[in-house]
Amino acid sequence: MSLIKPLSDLRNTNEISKLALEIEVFGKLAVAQAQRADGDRGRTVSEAMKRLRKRIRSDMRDEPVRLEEVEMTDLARDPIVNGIYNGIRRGVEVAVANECYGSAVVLIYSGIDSMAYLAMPVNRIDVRRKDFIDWAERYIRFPCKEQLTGADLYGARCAMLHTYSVYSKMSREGKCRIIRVYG
Amino acid sequence: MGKAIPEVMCNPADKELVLVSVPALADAFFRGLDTFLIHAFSDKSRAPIVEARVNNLVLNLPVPEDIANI
Repeated sequence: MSLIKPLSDLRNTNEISKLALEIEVFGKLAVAQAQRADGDRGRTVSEAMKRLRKRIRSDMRDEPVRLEEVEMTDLARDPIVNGIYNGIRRGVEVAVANECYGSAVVLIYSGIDSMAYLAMPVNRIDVRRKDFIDWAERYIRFPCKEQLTGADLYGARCAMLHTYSVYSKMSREGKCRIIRVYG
Repeated sequence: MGKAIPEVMCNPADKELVLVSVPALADAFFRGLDTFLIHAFSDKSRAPIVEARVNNLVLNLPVPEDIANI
């Protein structure tokens, strides 16, 4: 077993990954934001590696990792925290909070595209229409009877991103509904 | 965020149009995002693929001091 592992690998293996999933990204984000608010840019590399080795040794001995030992170093640099939560999600939150609904919708559709990229099959490089539709169909669910389909959202995505309107080629061809949004 | 109930509305007389509130769409996206990440990283076969792709995302990082001071 390699002693030194990239921070991002910790998510994939052993008890640390389970723990990280259990406390979930919200917990990490809160810590990262608090660190950032305090002007903390994270620990030095040597400090981080010292704590990392301690955690890995603990894991090799099958000892439970205490919550307070979970590495919070540089979480603001973690791609999920930084890219997805502080990047994609926060942009949407800020736009909605400031009633910039058009921008919020553009960012949401763009965010779905990004998630479709993460979720697409292993042998692929570029996101296709089907990837977007499949992801949206599975994960965009509303707590009411009426739902948007993946095709509805893809048509709306094309309309907003290409022309900042609600009309797309798909909607004109009757392949999806027109989505009108309101704040 | 404000609440609009129901979150998605459709006029039976006009099946080409659907209305959705932006806060509800944002909430749905956030829930989907969380669920997807949990699914992705709970699946041992998918996790490495997603992990590799996540590293391609644009990150917002502070400019290193030695560069910032140039």
